Amino acid sequence: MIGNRLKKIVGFVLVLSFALSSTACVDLSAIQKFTESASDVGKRFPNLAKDLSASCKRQHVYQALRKAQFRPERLVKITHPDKGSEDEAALNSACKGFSEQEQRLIEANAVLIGYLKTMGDLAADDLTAHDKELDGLGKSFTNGNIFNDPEVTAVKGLVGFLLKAATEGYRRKQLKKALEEQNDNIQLVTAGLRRIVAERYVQQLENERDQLRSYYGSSISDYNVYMAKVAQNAGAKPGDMVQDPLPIIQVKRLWDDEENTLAARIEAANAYAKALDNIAQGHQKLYDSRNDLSSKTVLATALAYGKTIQSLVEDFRKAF
Amino acid sequence: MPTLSSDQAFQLAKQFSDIARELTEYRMSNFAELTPDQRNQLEGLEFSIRNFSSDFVALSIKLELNDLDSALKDIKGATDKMKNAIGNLEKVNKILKVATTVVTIGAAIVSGNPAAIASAVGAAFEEDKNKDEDKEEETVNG
Repeated sequence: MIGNRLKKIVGFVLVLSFALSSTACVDLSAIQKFTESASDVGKRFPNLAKDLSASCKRQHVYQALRKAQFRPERLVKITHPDKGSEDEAALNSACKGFSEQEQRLIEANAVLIGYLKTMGDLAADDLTAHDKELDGLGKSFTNGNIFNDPEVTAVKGLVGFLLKAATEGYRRKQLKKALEEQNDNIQLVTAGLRRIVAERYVQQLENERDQLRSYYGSSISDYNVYMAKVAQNAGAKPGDMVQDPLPIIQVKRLWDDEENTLAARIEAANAYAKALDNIAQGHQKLYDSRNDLSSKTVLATALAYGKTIQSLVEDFRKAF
Repeated sequence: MPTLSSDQAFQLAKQFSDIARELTEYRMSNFAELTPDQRNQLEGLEFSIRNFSSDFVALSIKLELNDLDSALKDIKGATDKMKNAIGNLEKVNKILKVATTVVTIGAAIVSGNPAAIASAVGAAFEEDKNKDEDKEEETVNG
């Protein structure tokens, strides 16, 4: 219900901004809409980034439960380890490689959002401000084992631009300059984020899905072997039906729930990757048309990219 | 000295993930015929191989080798052979050996020790050769 209403409002805003862009000669609201939509998907990104190590930990929990053979005294310690416990230390140690990656991903994404917000401000001819926490990244941003050197330089370049745009009071007349100077950086940063999300994160989720299937499949098979023995001891003859499907039906429901959650996360990761493609392509189109930003064609194109990104936000929201 | 790149690590992650999946499929398809000990061994090896895949995704390893490209080609050759072997072998003891070899390769990569990598890859090719000889022997003996 709320979702439908939201869609109607978004649709109305899109139609309205298109109508405005068609009539006003220097109305760049379509560019604003494009940057707003792009920022919207990016705001939810930290949840995805943090799921890299969370997924790693879930895999280790499945493994630990199987290794512990579901001994009751171990169950809670494995699934909800106490702070400072050996179980927590083991889990953190097994997944520590993802901590720095998460941090760098969140930072690079924040810089991208900051840039898009600034572009929106310039299109609106507003003065811009940015998150001061990003300033330090101009020097401190590192590859985190996931970004390559040109991508690191690109993130730092964007941070430098944000600082300059805020301190030097950039307005609409600097929009063209910004597009010219930052297009390469945007292409690099979006490509880097895309690669990490669509390849690495999805691979991590696929590993988790394999582990999930191994966990449930093995446990159901163990149960069947156990039931066969119970039946044998009770006098069942070879060939007698000794399966008890009812508990398996219940377990399969839990299994399906977890499969569905993972599938939604994979879909969300792919939606985010597509949104990044749209940001890169939209920015490229604006760059190509930087000498004629107020033309109807350019504004309609920006609007179309904004609309596509907005639809991808919905897919992203389902999981994060 | 060349360092393992993000893309190369990702390829390793995929290779190890595929092998772990093959092992799961083998174990699940033959569950009733396996002894509890064999099931546990296979499951443990599967965990280790999948965890290596996760380590490669995290790139929490530093691998620097003079002839990195050539080493990675050998590793891919060896892991491809191991993956095919798991899909084609029937005897569980052979599969356990192959899976153990994959774990040794994974551990050698994570250790970043060139000699250990070369030795593990060599063992994999030897294992693959033995597998072919065993098959020929089975055919001759009918």
